[in-house]
Amino acid sequence: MDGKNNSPFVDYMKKQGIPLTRENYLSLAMPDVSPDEIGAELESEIPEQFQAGRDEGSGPKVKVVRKEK
Amino acid sequence: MIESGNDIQKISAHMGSGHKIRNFYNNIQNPNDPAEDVTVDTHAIAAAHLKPFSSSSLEVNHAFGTTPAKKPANWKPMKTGGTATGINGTDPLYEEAYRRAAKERGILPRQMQSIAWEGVRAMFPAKDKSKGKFNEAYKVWSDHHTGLHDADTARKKIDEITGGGAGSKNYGW
Repeated sequence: MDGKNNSPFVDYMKKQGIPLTRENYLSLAMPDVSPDEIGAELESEIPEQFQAGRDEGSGPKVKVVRKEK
Repeated sequence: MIESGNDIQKISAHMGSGHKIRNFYNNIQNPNDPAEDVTVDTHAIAAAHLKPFSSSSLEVNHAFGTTPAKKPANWKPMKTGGTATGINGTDPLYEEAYRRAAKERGILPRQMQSIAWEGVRAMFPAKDKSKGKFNEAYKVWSDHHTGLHDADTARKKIDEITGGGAGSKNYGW
């Protein structure tokens, strides 16, 4: 293991040129989950590069549109 | 899984570096594996402590190696073991605890985890836990750690707090 998730969402973000940020990842991978509702267990399933408390990816943020619950 | 063509390298890469998903995969894929994989989730951690933990509890964050949304003062993010150890958080301590408990009773660690998982969810139902109904359990353990009573007394007190909880009735605790 190299310590990073090989997430298909990350692959997609790279392919589409979407900036690799936590916010962008969450909007794609967990569109129905509010960032405030993410507990430890779910947080641990987020690729390390996007986990809170770790260095976030660089680059501009894109506007995120969340689905209404 | 389907797209991987059963290539374990591809499957492994998608499971990430945490312990839970990988153990869960192993438990399903090969439940009797001699490696004694154990899936440790929030409930398994709560059962190990006999406390009404939620996914925001500090101990749960420690186990998963994550950073809580409300960081206590002096909080320092965990450093992963990386390829040197493969260890993330305190999860492996719980895995080992479940293995030892299972060995004492002659069952598989994953069976011990399943029993404890069901039991603790019955003892601390989510709908009551979220209202803080069982918060007294924290004081019970705090009192134990300051020497006011022994661990068995603490367990009995928590059983009382949970109303003789379904856990103890159904599972013979």
